[in-house]
Amino acid sequence: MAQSNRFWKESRLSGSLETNNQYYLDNKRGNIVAPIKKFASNSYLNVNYQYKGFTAGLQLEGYNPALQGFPTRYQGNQLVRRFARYKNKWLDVQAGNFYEQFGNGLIFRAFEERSLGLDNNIDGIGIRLAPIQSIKLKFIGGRPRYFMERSPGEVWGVDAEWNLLNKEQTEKIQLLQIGASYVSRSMRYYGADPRFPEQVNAFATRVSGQLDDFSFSGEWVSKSTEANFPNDFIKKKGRLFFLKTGWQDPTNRTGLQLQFRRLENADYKGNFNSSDAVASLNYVPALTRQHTNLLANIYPHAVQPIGEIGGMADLFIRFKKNTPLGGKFGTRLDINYSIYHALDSTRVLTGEGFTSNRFFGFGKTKLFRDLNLSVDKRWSTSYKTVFTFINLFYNRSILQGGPYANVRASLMATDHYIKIKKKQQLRINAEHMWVNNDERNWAGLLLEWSLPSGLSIFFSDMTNYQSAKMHYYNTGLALSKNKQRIQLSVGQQRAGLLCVGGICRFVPSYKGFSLSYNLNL
Amino acid sequence: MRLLFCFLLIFQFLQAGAQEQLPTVPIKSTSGKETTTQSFLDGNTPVVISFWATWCKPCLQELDAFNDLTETWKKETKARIIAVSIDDSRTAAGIKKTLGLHDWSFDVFWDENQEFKRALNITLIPHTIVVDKNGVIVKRYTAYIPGNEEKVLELLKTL
Repeated sequence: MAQSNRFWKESRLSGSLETNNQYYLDNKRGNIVAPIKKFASNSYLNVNYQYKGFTAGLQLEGYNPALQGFPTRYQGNQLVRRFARYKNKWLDVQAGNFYEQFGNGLIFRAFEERSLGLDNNIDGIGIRLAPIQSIKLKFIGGRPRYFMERSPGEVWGVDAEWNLLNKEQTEKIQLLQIGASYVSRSMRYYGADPRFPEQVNAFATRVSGQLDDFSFSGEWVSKSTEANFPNDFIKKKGRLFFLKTGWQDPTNRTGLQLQFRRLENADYKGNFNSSDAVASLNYVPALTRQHTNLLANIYPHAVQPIGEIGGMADLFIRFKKNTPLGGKFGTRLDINYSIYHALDSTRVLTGEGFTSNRFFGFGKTKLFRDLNLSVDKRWSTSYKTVFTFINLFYNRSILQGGPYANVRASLMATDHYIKIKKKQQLRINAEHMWVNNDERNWAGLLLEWSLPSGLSIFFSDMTNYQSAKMHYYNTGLALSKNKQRIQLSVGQQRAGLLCVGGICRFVPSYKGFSLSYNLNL
Repeated sequence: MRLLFCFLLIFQFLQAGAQEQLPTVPIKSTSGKETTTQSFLDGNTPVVISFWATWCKPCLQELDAFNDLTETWKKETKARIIAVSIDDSRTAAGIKKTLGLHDWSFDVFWDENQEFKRALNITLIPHTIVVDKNGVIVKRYTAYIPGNEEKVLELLKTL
């Protein structure tokens, strides 16, 4: 009896429920036509059971049908994830659907990003071993998720990491880590090409470290010939090179970080017929600033895995309090710059598609450039402002695809945070973006009022007032209470990152009503 | 809908017997040194764990609010505050910059592939959990509500 009581006490069920629902309306003026099914809903239910080192869980997903902006192959209700896991100090074994990452993710990353419709969990087996404290080994084998099914491609891989130096104390940090990975994917090909590469092998080596205020990390990935839908089925080897270095002054008031990345046929597909990021085995995100302004997200960089070279620089200065620049509460200056070009390459008529001329050469085609300057200043205990200036170049014809002119834009934004009666907050965000063509100039405004009861009321609008004069507005309310959150809104929205109601999330474009509910069980 | 409601009722009943413990998963320091979430606990100190990301404005506001209260917290409770970044390689380079700009006085860790977030079934950030000295999760807060930091402080005084 006592044993049964103990088992009951040490067992734990936990979970979460998330449901996002939209009701669509037509807007003939903006050529936004509601889908035939006016109501759409994405829902996710997670249940996990834990007893000591043993965990098991499942995830149910329902798309009835999927929200606009999500691939239509997400449909119906299905158990998409089930797993069992056992772990102790040196062993961690997972069977079923699991997530994992090797190194920076450039060779392999299985992850879930619901708001983007991405989930490439591996259905198979994953093992982590730590035979001694400084060495970590990982093994994965199985098939990645492909919408509501499994990809026909099979993947397996190993990763080893060795901590050569591992001292982290308050003042002194000395870390040095090296690692290597191998990931293989094989998938049957039923076409007419006798030399189609059914199996693709990728190798990666990496190093990272920190010596007091100076840090560095780098990874090199080499991939055997891969042909897939996104690269137009050219048969080309892949190469990925990533380097990052940073320095911070000992008082942590100033710092500089530099990143460089070169991609060449970098998309590693779990399914070579997949047209988008679904069922990718590796993670090659855009290394640019993640904008949180309303208007800056109109022209985001779209990474070009087929060939891209460039990098990003970050500089920050935190001015001291009680100085002319710092004022009474201090001032934060944040400068970010990123630039990406196509590779310096030559088209060839062989199946390889193109060859690169100089490895570190920047091609003539500029893809994207972005300069960000942000000053964050608190004026009193109840008033803070953030001033942002952005200047960007956007190669629309390549990044969006089509016969478009390049876009040059400058944006100014001011964010005001005003505390009222200590526990209420009013946020006012006003923006203007000057654009040389496309939809021309934009103006944007966001108002948000947060109350201590957990209620938040918001309104936002952005308009291309020199061209179509469309209003992309969104208004609604959100209520958060401990483990729960509900949000109701109405509007006409462009896709992008939306930060209102106390949280941030990616939203697809739509016109209509939206209701979201989140619960931690 | 009815089925879901029944499920939630059964779920709550099954949950009643046990307390939610802080899961043990690997996590990195901002320098890249790997440890586990068990290192957050010392058997003597309650812990406040706040999930954030460099691109999440409300998260930064919440952590700034926690930071402003640091002196009061130190006087009135011995609780430890831990900020866990869920930035992936898209934005991870911004973690150190954010720490430099905000100068938080508490420890910051990096949940590189969101394993810790997943183990806690977190779907939205900011998300803050309060853990007692025995590792039992006693409260969760989804989203940042101005003034939440004082509620957390009041709760910590009772632990």
